Amino acid sequence: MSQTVIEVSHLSKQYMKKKVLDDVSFKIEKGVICGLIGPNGAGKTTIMKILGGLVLPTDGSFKLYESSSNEDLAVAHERSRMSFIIETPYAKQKMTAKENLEKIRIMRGIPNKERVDEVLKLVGLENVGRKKVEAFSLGMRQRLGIAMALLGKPEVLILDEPVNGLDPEGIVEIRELLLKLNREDHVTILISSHILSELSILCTHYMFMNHGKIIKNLSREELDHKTRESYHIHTDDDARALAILQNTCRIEKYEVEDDGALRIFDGLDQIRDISKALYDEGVIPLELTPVSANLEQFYLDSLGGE
Amino acid sequence: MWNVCKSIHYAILRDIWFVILLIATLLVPVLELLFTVGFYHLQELTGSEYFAEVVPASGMPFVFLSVMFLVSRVAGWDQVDKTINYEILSGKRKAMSYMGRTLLSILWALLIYFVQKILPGLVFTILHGWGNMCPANEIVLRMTLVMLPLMRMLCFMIFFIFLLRESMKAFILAVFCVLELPVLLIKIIMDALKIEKETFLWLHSNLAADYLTGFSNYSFDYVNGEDVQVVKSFLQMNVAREIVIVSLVFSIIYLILGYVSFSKRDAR
Repeated sequence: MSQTVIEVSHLSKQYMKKKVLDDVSFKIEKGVICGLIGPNGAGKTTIMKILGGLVLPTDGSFKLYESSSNEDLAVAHERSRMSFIIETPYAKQKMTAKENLEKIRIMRGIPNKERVDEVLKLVGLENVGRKKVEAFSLGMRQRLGIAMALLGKPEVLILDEPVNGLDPEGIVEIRELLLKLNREDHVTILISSHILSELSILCTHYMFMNHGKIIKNLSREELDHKTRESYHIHTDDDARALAILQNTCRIEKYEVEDDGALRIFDGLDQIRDISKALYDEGVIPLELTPVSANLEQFYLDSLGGE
Repeated sequence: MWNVCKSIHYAILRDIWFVILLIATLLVPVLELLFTVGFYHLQELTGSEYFAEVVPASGMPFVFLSVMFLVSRVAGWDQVDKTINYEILSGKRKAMSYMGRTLLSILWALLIYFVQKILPGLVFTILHGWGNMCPANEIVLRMTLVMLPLMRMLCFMIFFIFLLRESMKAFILAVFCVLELPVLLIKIIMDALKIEKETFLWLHSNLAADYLTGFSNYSFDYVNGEDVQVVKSFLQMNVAREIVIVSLVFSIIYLILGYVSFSKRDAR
């Protein structure tokens, strides 16, 4: 049985009259990579800040491993097993990357001094030398943030826009690094990003947020299933094909695409019968393929349904 | 908490403003000596003359300013760049972050106080002896007690910084609006109403420090066959007790208020 690493129950946060989190509940199991997806202001960062102890919830509670947020000491201890990157990585601007990492190493009580060089190499910052953080590009700062997060060999990573500002090569490197951590060290990851193509490669679970609420929470398999639940049908006579689908096959949910081809959303388990019916009526199917909408389309559809 | 202290210590030693403060701390006693007794008299200045003449003349303002600046760097710097957030995210309790900064501020404040006010006296005692100007136990008592108003001011500064979550702005604001203005007002009121100095000492840590380091009754005694200048204004125990109690009570209140301000608010 898999272990629950994060459990959020009826969490709410209100600033003055504005509710930024509204009765949010979810669980994250050990070993998953969960993508938190939503527009700006949806409440993604607020959830992460609450889990990190930076923001106090107005209502509700959460558990990190077995420790409840009501137990200050215990939940703080569980946080020491986790690492967070929230917003732009916080760093001393007048210090070098190595000095910043050394400060965190001392603060976290990590005895191994070589660990600083290890993580610098891991994120590709081993050659920045005496360059101060104030002279870093956004991408370099992000890499430093990731290095800071990895310093303590965390069991859980909570990452808010970690690839923001990275070049395409950097994005691939970080993705590979996160996948490696997940596969080899079973690191659980909660990640938010606006680069949905990245999340679709990386994540095993998805949570969609809007207006402070979780509007969808599903696994990759469930998402695949949902996005595959249609068939693209293109025939030598699409108009006749549509009449056959409506009258013979009793298909009610469909759409006619711009090129005249059809997309059906029900009767998917009768696709052989549909194919046969078309042949029997003398209509030749040229294409009959399951369609998988991508994450981006699914996200936009989900927001549209709000 | 020790790890928090050590990590802040690691960072502030790389802070240019902190380095400037340390250099100033070393220069200040030298300048104070040169301005109050002059280079010629330095060659025969005894320990008791240093504590009874130089310290009252120079007073405690620079120690206070130095400590305020120190606290603004130790407790405020990480709040400006939000690196304090890493401590909480790494599983340090807010109480540990708060106490770590307070403890480190106290340790550095005591060191600054020692270097600026005590060390020169020890050096002159070693070089030229204690002398006859005042008894050593009176000086030990006064210089020990003066640490309490200093701590009170330090705790106020901690509270102020955790309230404003700023560093340099909090320092400047504290100097002009908190440290100087009330002292000026209290002194004006004391002069206008012809109230004795001791009556208002509990009101402000700076006044209490001035009282503890100051001497008023200078006269001459015949010691070892020669006339020597001595001071005879000994510390009034009831005033000292009042300063101790008020300093401790205010320090605790400020520390509690500072912690409440830190723990009950969202991070920036």
